[in-house]
Amino acid sequence: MPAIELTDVHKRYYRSHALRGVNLSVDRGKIVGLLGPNGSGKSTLLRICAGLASPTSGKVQVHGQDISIATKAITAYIPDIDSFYSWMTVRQAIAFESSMFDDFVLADAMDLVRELKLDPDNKISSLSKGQRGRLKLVLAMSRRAELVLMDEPLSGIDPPSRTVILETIADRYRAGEQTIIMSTHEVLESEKLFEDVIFLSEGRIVLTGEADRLRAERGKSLNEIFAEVC
Amino acid sequence: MGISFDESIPIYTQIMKSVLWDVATGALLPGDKLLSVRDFAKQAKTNPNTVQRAYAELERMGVVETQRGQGTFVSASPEIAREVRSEMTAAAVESFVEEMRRLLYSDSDIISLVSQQLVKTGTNSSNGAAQNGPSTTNNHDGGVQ
Amino acid sequence: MKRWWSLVGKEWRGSWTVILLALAATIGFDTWLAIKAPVWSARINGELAFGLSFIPFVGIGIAALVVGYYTMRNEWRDRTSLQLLSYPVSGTGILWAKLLVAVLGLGLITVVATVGTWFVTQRSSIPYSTIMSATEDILRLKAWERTLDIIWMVVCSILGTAFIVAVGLFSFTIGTIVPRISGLIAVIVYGLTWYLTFAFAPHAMYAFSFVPNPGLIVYTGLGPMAARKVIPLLPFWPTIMGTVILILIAGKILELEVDA
Repeated sequence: MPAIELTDVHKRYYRSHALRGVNLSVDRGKIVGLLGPNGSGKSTLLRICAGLASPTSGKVQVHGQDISIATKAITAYIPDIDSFYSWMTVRQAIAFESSMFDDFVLADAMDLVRELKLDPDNKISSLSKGQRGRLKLVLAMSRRAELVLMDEPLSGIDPPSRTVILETIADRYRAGEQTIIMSTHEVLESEKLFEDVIFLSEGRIVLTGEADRLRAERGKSLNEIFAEVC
Repeated sequence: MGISFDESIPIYTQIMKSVLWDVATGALLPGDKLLSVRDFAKQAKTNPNTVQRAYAELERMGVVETQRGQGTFVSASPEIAREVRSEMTAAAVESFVEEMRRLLYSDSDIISLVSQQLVKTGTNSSNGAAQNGPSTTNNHDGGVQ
Repeated sequence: MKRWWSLVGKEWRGSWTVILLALAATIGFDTWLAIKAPVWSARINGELAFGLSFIPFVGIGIAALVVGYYTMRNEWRDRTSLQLLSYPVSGTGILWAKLLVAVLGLGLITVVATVGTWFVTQRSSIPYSTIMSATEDILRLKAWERTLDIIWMVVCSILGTAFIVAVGLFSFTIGTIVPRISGLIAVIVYGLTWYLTFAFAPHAMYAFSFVPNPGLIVYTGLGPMAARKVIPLLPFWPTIMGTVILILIAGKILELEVDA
């Protein structure tokens, strides 16, 4: 059973057509790169899988189930924008998240907070962009979530924080059990993380494949392939 | 410490090559422990599955051995290491010669160009035995640095 | 259920600042009235401060009308909707949590405002005849009848408030279906819901007059001719039904249709 499966998914907004017939099946237990320029439909695709948007037409399944409370319970979603209750402290945000998900491991969260150098007593409204990016990662990676959807976790974040975020994903990824789908338009930094990649352009999938096989076949980095196909 | 890759070449072959290189040059000796998959992945910011795949491939080749709960160790005896080294040497020389011939150099030109280059870069101190020689100066594939 | 209570806690802490401000304003206003009351009683009339002490209740009424809309709108404005809707809780769960906290908050302010009014009354000199005419009917009730009446009136105002809040929650949720003009849609839905409420209220109350309703005990008439009557609280069931229906519909929409 694939981690996610999309069948002819369309998403139309008032004037734009964000997804134009996406067919996709993502294997479980891999870190998958969802690569595409801004506005290619990456965010929409991830939001649909997280149950935060409904497709205009087509079918979406997570672990063989239609999107529901049950699929939300096994999915960790990191939005591309800040979506925090900014009056909370880091500690409160962790406690709240932990109360929402049975698979949340508080001890892991506390470890990660220390590792990523966040002060638990800081208010979220006082955090920098990089710190908020790291907090998002703490919340998602402290869960034993089977599916992790990360929308542009590096976008707009300072270089040291980017390095820390990539290291933490590699370190905390639960190989074999967990599926991570990470969208990005900055392929260069993150491409070594991906086992499989999906290239998205203007709401359509233009190329999918195993990262190392694509490198071998084309003698090019994913970043160079990205420039070609997207 | 960082591990750098050429992103246009499959990552898992680069991981394999870097270990093979270290074994061939003696930087890794039999019984030495490799970085754990997780540590390797973290330091290289790469996918643990890819590292696992490279380690598994090395194990199939008989170069390393995984002991449950303890880690992955170099198992290659000096003979295997020498074998690996000569294979890699042969491959390197072969591809170099092939490329030079494609560039239409004659055999004598190739030899003289190599001699010139050797003079230009000075004599390599670990010339010959290559026991502790740095494996990075001419390692165009990158590798553990 | 654990998740739901956690949501309630989040709503409460999230709105605590606003509630605190409202409480401070009410207490401040009533204190000012209480200070002025003796002066006004002597110079103008005894009922002025008492009358003015009802202004906070007007504020509470207006707050009830808009709180449902704003509590939802803030989630979308701050983009916390992305977080909120990613939790494994039902749409109705989210809405009930917001409803509960809104009603609790409004209730708390109402209690404080009521104490304020009582306090202002104590400090005013209201003519004896005025007090008598206002309390004559109430005093005829037996103690348990009075208690029962108060209980039912409190219950009904809570239910009424819940319905008013639910209309706001419902309108915003419908509005989000059309992201570009969600505000406009919400306002239209809001107006339409109230229109339909008043248009069908008589029918609903008639329909529910055939089932048992709680009643208010009153005495009408004067002196020995006074008759004890029980007025059935006909809006009781329709208000509950209306609230539940609005929340159920909005909850389903929140789960299925809405773009966070």
